Amino acid sequence: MRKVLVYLIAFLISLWILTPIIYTVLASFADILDYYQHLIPQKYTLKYYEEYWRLGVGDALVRSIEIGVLTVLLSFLIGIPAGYAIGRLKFRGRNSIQLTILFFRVLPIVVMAVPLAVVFLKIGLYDTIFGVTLAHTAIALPFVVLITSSIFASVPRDLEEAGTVFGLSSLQIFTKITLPLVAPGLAAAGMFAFLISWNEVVASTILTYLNRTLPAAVLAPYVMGMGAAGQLPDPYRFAAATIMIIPAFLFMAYIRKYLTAMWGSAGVR
Amino acid sequence: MGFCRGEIDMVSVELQNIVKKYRNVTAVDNVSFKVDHGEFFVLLGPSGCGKTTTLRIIAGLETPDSGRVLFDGRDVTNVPAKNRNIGMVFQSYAVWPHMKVYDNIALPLQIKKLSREEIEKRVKAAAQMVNIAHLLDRYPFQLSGGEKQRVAVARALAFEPNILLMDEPLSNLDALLRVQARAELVKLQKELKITTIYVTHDQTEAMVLADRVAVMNKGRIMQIGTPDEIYNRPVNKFVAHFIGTPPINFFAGTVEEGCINAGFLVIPFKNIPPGLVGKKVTIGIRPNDISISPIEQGIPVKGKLVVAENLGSEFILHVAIGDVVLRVLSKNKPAKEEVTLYVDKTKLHIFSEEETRINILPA
Amino acid sequence: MEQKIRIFLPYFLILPTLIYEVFISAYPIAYAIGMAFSGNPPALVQLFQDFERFKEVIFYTILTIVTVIPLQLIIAIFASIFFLNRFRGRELVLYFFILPVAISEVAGALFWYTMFSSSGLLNKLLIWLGVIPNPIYFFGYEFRDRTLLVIVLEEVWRATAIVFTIIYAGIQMINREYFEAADVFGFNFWQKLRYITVPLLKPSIQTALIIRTLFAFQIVGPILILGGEYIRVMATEVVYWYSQRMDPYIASAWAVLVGVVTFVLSILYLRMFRAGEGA
Repeated sequence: MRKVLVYLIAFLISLWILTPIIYTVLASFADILDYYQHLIPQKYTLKYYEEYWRLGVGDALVRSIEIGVLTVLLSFLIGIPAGYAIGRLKFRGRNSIQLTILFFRVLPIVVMAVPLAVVFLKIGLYDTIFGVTLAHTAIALPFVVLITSSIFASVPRDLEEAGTVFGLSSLQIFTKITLPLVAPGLAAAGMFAFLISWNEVVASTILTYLNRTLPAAVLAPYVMGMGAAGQLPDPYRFAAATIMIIPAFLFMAYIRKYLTAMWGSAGVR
Repeated sequence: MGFCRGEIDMVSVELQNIVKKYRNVTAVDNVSFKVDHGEFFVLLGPSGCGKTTTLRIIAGLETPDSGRVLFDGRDVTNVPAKNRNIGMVFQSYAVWPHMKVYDNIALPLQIKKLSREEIEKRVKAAAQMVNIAHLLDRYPFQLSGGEKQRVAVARALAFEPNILLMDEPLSNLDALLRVQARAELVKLQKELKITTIYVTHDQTEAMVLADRVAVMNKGRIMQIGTPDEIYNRPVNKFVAHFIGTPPINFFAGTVEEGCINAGFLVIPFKNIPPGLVGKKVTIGIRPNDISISPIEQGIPVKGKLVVAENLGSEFILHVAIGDVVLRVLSKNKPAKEEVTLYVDKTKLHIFSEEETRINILPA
Repeated sequence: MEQKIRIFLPYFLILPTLIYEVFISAYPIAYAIGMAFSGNPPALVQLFQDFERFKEVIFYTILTIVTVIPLQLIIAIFASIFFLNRFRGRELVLYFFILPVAISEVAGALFWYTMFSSSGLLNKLLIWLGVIPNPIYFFGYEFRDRTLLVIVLEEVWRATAIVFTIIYAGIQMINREYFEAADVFGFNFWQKLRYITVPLLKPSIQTALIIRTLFAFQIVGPILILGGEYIRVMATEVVYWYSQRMDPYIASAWAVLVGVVTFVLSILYLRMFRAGEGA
């Protein structure tokens, strides 16, 4: 009896989470007039994606990808050394520094965005890919440092020491032993940084005008107060939503194994 | 002593053909036994033998795949744990860390909806019984392992359950504390006469505490009996080896007409069943049933002393006779390397090829 | 020399991060505070001057936060207890449940638009079932209250997973035997929840509340996409005043208010949970 209840709840949970996504994705491929008439659309087409692309979302999409990749690169460049230091080296003030870095993430993005925009306007970074990248990196950086520090900390010292014993230089140890071990974790951190950038909307909206990222482009009509006239037509909303969640699925699928590890053995009973 | 025993019914516990599987492993394989009112019953066995799972099935924390659990003849197999009126002491004590000791003991009674006076009475009495009355105001993190263990016991006792279940409650205590706690448990149980089922892997504990022991291995019950029966008449090799410190000596022999031949030792036996002649057997003799000085009923065997382990009050002598090495418990260390052992022929255990006991008497 | 390098190495490695954050995060915040107080009268004061609007913004902000966060917490706790059960397909359902962690608020808002728009799933379903003849409207000025419902649903759908991740990790760390002892000693589900589960989850709840509240005040996507201009919260005011009204000072004023409120709430949470700790 209890078993039945458990499976019922599991089913309802799945339904609750998946229905909005599935229906929207479905709708994005449907002929809009058919969609309006029928509960389950019967005619499908790709034309809205094509139109949407030409309307400029293609550019926004490309920009989001570019900014995402740049964010990953920049936050890695700056953050991985710090993550390595915190994770592997002993030094005074390590805990305080960790807390400080964490503290930076506590600072609301909303508060940062406007002054950044003002400054960027003055130095010509406003409405540029690089400007948005700088803001996104500021957001992602603490996460990258914290995640990579715990990844580096989890590499057993013995493995590196064995390398020393067998005559490898520090650089060789790093590239041949440490790096392969941390690679999966770093990949996860990178995907996480990309996702943060990809999903970020407040700073992206404030820091851009013509060169929007995808979320900012979707939000733009509302932000600019264009009222009903400027609202995105339905088919494009569906298409936008569908495009926006692709990285989410990929990221969550990749991260599944890490989550089970983090959550410990999958419950008793 | 503070408890009104009259309110507590003594209950018998019976398991009938309990089977429990996890994935491909059969944790409990057709286990049946009955525990009488007020009996101290011990489930003994190595880790993984299914004793804890069996206990949890009795508690209602697990449901068996098949079989029944009966309390005083009442089928409780599908009754959830909270309705079984049992008290349980967990291996990790499970003393709730966010409450004071007093509340740990009192909360189950509050749930039972007892009056505040009654709760206070019971808590104080239970605390008194296990000597933690002075700790009632403390938090678990302020207590030592032994003290936490006693809180767990007090909590179970105050609950005034029909049955007391204990899952290796002493295994996390250091050796000295363990001996002390063991003695206290015996005293307690004798006074309160609660039906108690106790799980342990420590055979000394079982021997000291139990009215009867069920020895388990790989999900099956090997033997049920009093400590004396288990020790002196083990029903198979496993039980013979598991019980007794130092462990029993085994060596091989062949059955011949009227005797068993182990090479260095030939022992005459009466009433050897004819079908047994020519078969291989395993002979067991406990280290304390071998002596280095002559004893009545002792068969002399010559060997060479290889190692003498000094335990302080006695020695464990490892004596080699050809390929066989026998461990001997002895008060004294022999002066020379060449030793003569005297094997008590009344204390020999004979096991068939299938490892079960063969009951024959020496001539 | 080698020794000196070794001592200073960690600090060298960390320095870029600290410098970066100070310049891009900390300095702008100081700048924002400066902007919020500048102007004649100071921008912060100007906020109050349009009192009707101010009241409205505060009202909707409080309304959304106070509805959404407790709901998310409660659902997360029950979900954590639920997922302790072993059942076939549990990994998959877990994956579904936390999928929204990676979904942005904008995408979430769009999904729930699909559910509740006049030609959305809910309406079409009800019409198809014959329950209603005409669609029910959830968006638009006259239907602002209904829009709030959709916004709450969207946030619960999307962000509960974040709270859940923290609570679930916490519940895994609780010794299973604490619950089993409660079972044995006669506690029913609600008694276990009240006396054992929730008290032992306090640290996780505290963390989850702080993190969730931090981000809750910064949500703009669903408010703008679903509510248009009819529902205003503090965060949307920041975007509105900067992008539409081109007034960085008032925008900063609102932003600083967001910062202050989040900060105060975090301190409150820390205090609240410290008081309850017995151990």
